[in-house]
Amino acid sequence: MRKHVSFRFRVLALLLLFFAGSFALSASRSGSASLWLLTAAVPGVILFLLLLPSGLFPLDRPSLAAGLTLCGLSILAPVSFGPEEALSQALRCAAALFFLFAGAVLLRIYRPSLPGSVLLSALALGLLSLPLWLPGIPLSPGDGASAILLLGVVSFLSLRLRLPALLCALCGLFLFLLRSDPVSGGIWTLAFILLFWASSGSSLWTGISLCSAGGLFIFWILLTPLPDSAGASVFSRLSAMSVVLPESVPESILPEDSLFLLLGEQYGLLFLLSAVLLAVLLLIRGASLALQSRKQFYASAALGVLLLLGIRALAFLLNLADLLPLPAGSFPFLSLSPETLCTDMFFLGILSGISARNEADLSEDVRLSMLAR
Amino acid sequence: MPQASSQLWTILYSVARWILPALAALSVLFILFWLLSDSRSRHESLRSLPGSGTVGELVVLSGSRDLDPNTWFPVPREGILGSVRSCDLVIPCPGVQPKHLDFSWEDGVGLLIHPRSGCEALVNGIPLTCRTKAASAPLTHGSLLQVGSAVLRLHLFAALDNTAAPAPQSPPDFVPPVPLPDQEPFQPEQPPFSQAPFSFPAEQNPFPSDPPFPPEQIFAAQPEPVQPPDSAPLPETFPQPEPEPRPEAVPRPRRSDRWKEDLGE
Repeated sequence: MRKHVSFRFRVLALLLLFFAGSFALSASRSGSASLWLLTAAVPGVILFLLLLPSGLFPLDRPSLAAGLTLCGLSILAPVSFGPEEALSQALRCAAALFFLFAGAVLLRIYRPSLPGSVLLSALALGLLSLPLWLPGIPLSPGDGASAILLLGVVSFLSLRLRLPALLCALCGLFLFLLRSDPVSGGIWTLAFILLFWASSGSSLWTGISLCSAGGLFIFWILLTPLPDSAGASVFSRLSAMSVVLPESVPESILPEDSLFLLLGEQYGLLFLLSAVLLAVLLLIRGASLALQSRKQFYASAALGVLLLLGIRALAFLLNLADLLPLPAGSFPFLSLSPETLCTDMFFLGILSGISARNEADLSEDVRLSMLAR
Repeated sequence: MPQASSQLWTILYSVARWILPALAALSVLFILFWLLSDSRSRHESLRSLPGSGTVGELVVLSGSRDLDPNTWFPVPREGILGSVRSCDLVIPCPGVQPKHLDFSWEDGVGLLIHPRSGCEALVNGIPLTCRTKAASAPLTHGSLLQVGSAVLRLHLFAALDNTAAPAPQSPPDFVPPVPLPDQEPFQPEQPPFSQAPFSFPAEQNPFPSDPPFPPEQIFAAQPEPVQPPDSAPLPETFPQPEPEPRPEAVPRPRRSDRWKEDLGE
């Protein structure tokens, strides 16, 4: 236990030094008040969340450390645009923290039931179909809806209702395709098929779902031309990056660019590698939580989260390497989109909720073993 | 706000070029060590709780060529029972489908049995199919479960058999095994779940080494008698256990021993 606690403090100290140093470096160059504020705020929030007593609010600290570090990197990357852009990103990340707590609370209080499953699935499908009913609406939640749909489908699977789960997933895919978002639809479908196979263990049902999803995709491709991918210039940008920080500070870059590439150009390939490894550690933690869970619902939810995040990260990296001919969104947590950030934080909250449930189960076992004495 | 001079900033930047990536790499490394340490500490916690995650054990009363009587299986809170290796409870007996039924523990109710499509199970003689409501025939302590040619009896951990915490008891010095009665074990007037739980003397150690069960941790408390539900008379095909002192329990077979592969795995 002492070793366990000491790792937490070492990681905390390193993260505080890292972010304070990074923001202070930029702040001391420009003298911007916003950057000096971020020098204190970003490490402060990380310190607060990682030291939050588990009795007050149980959060899974290892996954939280990885997720918050990636969030911090997403605030660090736009510093090159200007201090105000970094501050805006910091405010988006701060607002997304609400969904971290929402996800953790939802996982602690929700028990799988038929009405709950139907409600979650209907809500998710409703949100996905919103732009189709109201074309002029500025809000079109796609990633958030997929998170809620994941919970609904997992709830159906834990109740051994395979057909409703399959139907909801296929409806979700259909709606993603109608919204002209084939990449999100593909990520959702692949994650669902793997989750379905792991949960049901039935090759027949998995084959049926694979054929149905494949048929929908082929039908959509025949009707709609594929959108263009990012282009071939990414490789040249990657090869031009230095290993550590570049010798001269790069010029300001337009904000439409990918945060992932900006991080590499501003701070070097080692930063990029750290971001990728942090995402891998987050996925490993999700897998570990799934294996420790006693109930199928929590294990499937953890598996679903890590599949959605992992496949999205993989699709992004394949797109960077020009191996995927479709625009692949953003790297987990490294996004300027408020909706994507909120969804990623919601996933982190789900993992925290599952971790808290696993700890509660272990405490219950200790209590039962004491009762049996 | 304070702003460094050009020369000072150049020096700071030159130093930070190497320190910041090193800090980033160290952070990733220590998060990895943290994950490993957390996993190790959890492993150690589980080692000190050998029955962790399980609700009791299923003891084989009648098995097959591949499954000897008196073999026992720890019962997790949720899982699948079938004849293939990937199931949580592997019963390699005739009549048991590769994935025969799902089971789940419900606090205050018991172990619920959900047979899969085309499969049947008998709980204390009550037939259950995929259309039958599982809560109508839960498995409680001493209940019999028949799947295929196998007959199994459920032994619940004492602390799970009631909701109120029992009075703490000192570990028994020696408690001889309770012999089976010289009569039909489950007469209609003697419901199975009113039987006392088995307790083993510490030196017999009938439990296999993996996972070890400290005898004083289980079956130390007598459960409160559970109100038996109305049940149909048991079928006459139930095997009659021999009225002799309980033999030593046989450790469960290893997963690699003569269990069918799950090709869908």
